[in-house]
Amino acid sequence: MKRALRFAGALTALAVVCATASCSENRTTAPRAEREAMAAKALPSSAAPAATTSREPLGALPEPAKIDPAVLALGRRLFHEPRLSGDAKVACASCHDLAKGGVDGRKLSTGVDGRLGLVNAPTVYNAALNFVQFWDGRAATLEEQIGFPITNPVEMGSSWDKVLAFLAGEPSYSAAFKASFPDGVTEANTRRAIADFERTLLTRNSPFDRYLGGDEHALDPEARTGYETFKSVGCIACHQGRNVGGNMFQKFGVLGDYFKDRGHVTDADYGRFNVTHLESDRFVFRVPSLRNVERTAPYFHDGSAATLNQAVQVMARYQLGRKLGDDQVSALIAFLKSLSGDLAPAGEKPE
Amino acid sequence: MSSARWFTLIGGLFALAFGVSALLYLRSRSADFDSHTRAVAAIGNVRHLDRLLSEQVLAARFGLLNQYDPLTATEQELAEAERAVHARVGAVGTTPEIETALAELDHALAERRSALEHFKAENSVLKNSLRYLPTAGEELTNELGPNANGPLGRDVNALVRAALVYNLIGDQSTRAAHLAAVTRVAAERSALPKDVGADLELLLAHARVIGERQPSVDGWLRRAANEEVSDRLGVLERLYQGRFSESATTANEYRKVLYAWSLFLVLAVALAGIQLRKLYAGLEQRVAERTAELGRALDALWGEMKLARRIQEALVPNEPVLAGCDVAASMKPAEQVGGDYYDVVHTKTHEWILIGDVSGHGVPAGLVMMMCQTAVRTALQRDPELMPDRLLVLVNAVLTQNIRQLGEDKYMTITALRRDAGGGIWFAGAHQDIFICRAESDEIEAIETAGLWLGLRDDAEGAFVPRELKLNAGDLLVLHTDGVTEAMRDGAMFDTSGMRRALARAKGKTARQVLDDVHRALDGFELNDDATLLVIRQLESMPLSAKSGETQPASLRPVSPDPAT
Ligand code: HEC
Ligand code: HEC
Repeated sequence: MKRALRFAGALTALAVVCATASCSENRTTAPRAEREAMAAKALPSSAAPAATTSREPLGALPEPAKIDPAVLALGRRLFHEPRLSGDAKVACASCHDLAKGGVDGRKLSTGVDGRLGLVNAPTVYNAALNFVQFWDGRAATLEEQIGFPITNPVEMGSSWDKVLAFLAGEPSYSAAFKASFPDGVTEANTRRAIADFERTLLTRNSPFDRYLGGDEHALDPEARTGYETFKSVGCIACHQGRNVGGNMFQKFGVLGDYFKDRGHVTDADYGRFNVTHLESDRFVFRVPSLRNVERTAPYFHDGSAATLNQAVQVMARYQLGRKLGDDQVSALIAFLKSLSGDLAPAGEKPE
Repeated sequence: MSSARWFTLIGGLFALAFGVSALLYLRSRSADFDSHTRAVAAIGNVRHLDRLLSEQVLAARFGLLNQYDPLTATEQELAEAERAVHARVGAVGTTPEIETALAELDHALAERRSALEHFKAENSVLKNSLRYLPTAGEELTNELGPNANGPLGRDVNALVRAALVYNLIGDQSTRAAHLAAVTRVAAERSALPKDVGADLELLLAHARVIGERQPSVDGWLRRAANEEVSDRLGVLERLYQGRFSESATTANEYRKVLYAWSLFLVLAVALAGIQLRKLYAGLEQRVAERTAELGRALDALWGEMKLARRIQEALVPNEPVLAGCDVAASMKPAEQVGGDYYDVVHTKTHEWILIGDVSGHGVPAGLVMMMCQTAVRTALQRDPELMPDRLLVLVNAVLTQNIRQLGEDKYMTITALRRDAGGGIWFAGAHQDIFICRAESDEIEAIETAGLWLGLRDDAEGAFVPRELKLNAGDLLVLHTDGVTEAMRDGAMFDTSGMRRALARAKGKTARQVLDDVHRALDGFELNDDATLLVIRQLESMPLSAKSGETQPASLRPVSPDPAT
């Protein structure tokens, strides 16, 4: 009897000690680390005045982010994979040919079964630096963007179910996914791999970037005049920042009615309006980046300008309300050509 | 009773005791400090980015930002911070009220994003037309040839001026004046030959853009930089803190019960009881301490960002240049931003030096200074041949209206000096004494300045009298603000006598050395206001070369550089 009581007492004591012991590990570590992380984040922003007084309204391209090589290889392969599409014939690369400046060179793109798209395909080069994706900015990130072409009936005409079934069923893919992500083939990982690959597609080393970096001779005199013209006539008001565009929305036709003059207005011409349904957003588009513009003809969301010369004249007329002289136009074009940088090495396309 | 039954009973009792202890323990732990800290930090981060964004929007409006990349970067960080708030507040646990507050915060942020996009677009277009209008006006008057002095030429000039003034002030009367000027010019279109007519259309198109965009830009600006997000954050924070302290209180209640329960057990096991007592004392205090500590850290972080200081520092040229002179300038900031102003402006024919001081402190003083700079530059751009007294009359008119608009009771001292090609300097306007150390005689002259203070009355016609001074080779000109002469030590002011003492040793030194001398003399004095010094040494008596067409200091470029001329 006494033994039994003593035993019970000992057990209770043990329980209490256990409870208090786990109580006493009450945290003391996290807040400091958290605060330091926050302070570190806040610092570059408090140092912002340096950036605000920087002289040039354009900047050179940054170093691309470091991406895990396994993820990168997977992303590159997915980007070139036609079997992600409904008829197993159309890959991202079909419309965004990396060897041709990341575009297809057509006025409007053709997707599965030769169906015609509604707008001109922009380049994937430097798309990572655009503040939103698509002409109308309907995708906020590259990851979000990828869902659109995959399921669009006039592009790849497939569905995530089919895509994931294919990837999981193809041993080389499921192995590659396993090697890159703990949870293997998923929709999020597929988006992530392609987007991360796109983040490395920065066309650095253009003559203009070298010029900004201090190499005076990287630009010939005409291109330099063109840069001055670009700033003085006001292109810079919209095409600005390190991507020479891609950091704001603007109406197409600020000082003239482009769409009335062109005729045949389609839904796609409504631009940002299709996303926000605000009347003030009708005919508004994300200002495109002008990097590599030499390689991305035809121009505009409707692919209506076949040459840079036309595109520049249209811009001057409808965005700036001006007529430019022939020498101004050719100087501008010389400058625009100096924005062409290094494309992804040709050998990188898998099988 | 058999021992087997005893065992069952005791085992049951033990299981019960253990179960109760475990339950009480779990309840007492529901307020988790870690997650709490993270949630508070996430809310703080959104607040920080929200303010940063407002600053950047203001900077973009006032031409301190020449492209939007910094703005879009902050936008993206803010979107991430918003997601973090959801995740972290959610991790602590939400109530229906908190869910509503989160949804309202999302809504406010979405509204702001939309306003911001419209602001960016409209602001760019407005800036572009403002920049182009004077050029378009010039091109048109050139084309008019000998008729440029006729009524159309005058009306075009009036239109350009009205547009710039409207952008600067933006009230009903300047708007009416702008629209009237547009109508006047438009009426003359039909009488013109075709090619001139096209140029006129262009000018009118840009003038109309200014008329349309000026109010809408400011409308979007107000919506993009309003307090909505910060109010929503306040609500969320209050609810969240309420919810947390509630759960902390409940947890404490459970803790007390657990404590009592443990005491009961402690009767059986004294040792464990002592352990417990040590532990629970002070828990409540720890919650309070942790929260206060975090609050202080956040305050320190946000307190650093002083908008007024940034405006001021971004506006004054740190390394001004004057032809044929050795120049050094410094602005020593007092603890709170004063309204010191200096500037060097090069026009086609003259070089201008301006120095002044806005009464009062803080953001309003900074704004007045900024307006003054814009007004000076606009006036000089329009008419580079102005005499300093005329310049001040024009600037005073704009500034007085502006100050009234701000609802501030402010005025400003200012002296404007114009260096001419011949080497003479015309100056006007009341500020501090101008010191000149003559190279030949070694004498120090203190020239008193006179005139009306800006911002006191609308019409300053006749209130300024231009006077002339001349610098010979080696002469030293020193300008300062009252922060220098009114610096205090042991109840005594530095005063002009302090300046004279410091300048007595100036012979043969560079401008920078003279500046450093004055700073050294000021050592130990307490600055109650910004202290600005501008030291100019005339190197040779050679006249200044009239070439540079630039009107911007090197430290500050507008949204984009001036139109190529
Ligand atoms: C059928 C042709 C086609 C295919 C296939 C295609 N795209 Fe596109 N892509 C387009 C068109 C057209 C647009 C512009 C659509 C718009 O703005 O509304 C576009 C836009 C984009 C953009 C936005 C670029 C910018 O600057 O806004 C990215 C990024 C992109 N595509 C990546 C991809 C990826 C990744 C794939 C494969 C999953 C893919 N595309 C497949 C035609 C295609
Ligand atoms: C008011 C803003 C604005 C100004 C000013 C402006 N642009 Fe554009 N630019 C745009 C927009 C918006 C588009 C996209 C139009 C579309 O396709 O719907 C564009 C498209 C372009 C394109 C086609 C790019 C492509 O990939 O399709 C070129 C080239 C271009 N701009 C050059 C210029 C030049 C050169 C100037 C100066 C003469 C200029 N822009 C001035 C807003 C502007």
